[in-house]
Amino acid sequence: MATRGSGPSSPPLTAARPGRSRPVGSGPSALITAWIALSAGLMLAALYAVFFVAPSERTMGIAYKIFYFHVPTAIAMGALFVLCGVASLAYLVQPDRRLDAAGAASAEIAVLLGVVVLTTGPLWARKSWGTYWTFEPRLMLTLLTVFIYAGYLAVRAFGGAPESARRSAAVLGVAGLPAYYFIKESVNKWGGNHPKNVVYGDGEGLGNPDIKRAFLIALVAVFVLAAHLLWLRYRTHLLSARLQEALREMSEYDLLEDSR
Amino acid sequence: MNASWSTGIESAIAPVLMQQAPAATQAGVEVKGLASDKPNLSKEEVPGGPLMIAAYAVMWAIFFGFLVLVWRRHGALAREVRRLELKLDERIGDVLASEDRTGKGSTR
Repeated sequence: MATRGSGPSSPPLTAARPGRSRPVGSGPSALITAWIALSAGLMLAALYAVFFVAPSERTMGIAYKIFYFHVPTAIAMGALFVLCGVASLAYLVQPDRRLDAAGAASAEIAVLLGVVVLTTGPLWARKSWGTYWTFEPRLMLTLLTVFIYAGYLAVRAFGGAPESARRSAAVLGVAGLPAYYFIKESVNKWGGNHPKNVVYGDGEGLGNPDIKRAFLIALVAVFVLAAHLLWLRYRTHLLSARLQEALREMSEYDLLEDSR
Repeated sequence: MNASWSTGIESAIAPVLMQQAPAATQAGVEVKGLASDKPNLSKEEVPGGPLMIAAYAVMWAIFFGFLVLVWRRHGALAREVRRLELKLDERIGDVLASEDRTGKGSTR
């Protein structure tokens, strides 16, 4: 019989479920559908603008089309590095499940976008520089920063006791913040082959209105997709924590054995 | 193996590249700051088509592969939590009914 917990501090079972209102995971489906439709629509619009509206570029030729998604992905990656760093700092100050979930989710999506950036970048470089990779400041710092946040995820996954693993990972998350600053400033401070001032440039930059429009649509599309992925992972982390809590409660009341 | 794979792709889309090459060099706009002027870098003429196709293929594979994985994981977790919570609610109902029957409801 499972009326009381076996532990000495277990509350009565009838008091064990305070304040639970709606089932977990039954999110607003209309919102989810709208979000998917928005992501897909923006991506299609971006692809149309990139391939059918924006003119070809004289120097890079068709490889210039890589730029329209490489740069927005890099910008979104940077924003997520910052979000992870800030959430990690806040978690260290005031441990909270939602801050932890926000940090973990943003690190995951940032690393994912980092892989995209570090794949599309060398493909661009092969055309522009004649080589896939050079050991120049921006490339190396980007790789290093992606490794820092991959380390964050590895510490969370394999770092031992959950609470200490979360705190150690949060320290790494904060440590990544200056690394991201140096990525931003590397082309200005130390030069290198990586183009600078193309988007916000002092020269012609993205002066052509069709190129600018295609770039902005792609930027919004990538940000909406990244936000969608971020929200999904955030929810998954919270659900996972809720599941652990439910399992712990059931274990307290000896319900776990016959729950399968 | 990689070289033959790459050569295979390049030869497969060669007709497309041949059409695009003149457009890329003779027409179009110029975006400042893209061309590298570093003397140590190769000035080899590299076809951009396969590079662009590879970049888009990898990008979409990563994005959508991850999206599908996350959706599946999220759905499985949500189902598991719902199942456990319903089970817990059932047991709580049983206990409440039992307490009502035995007159111990005052402890609620």
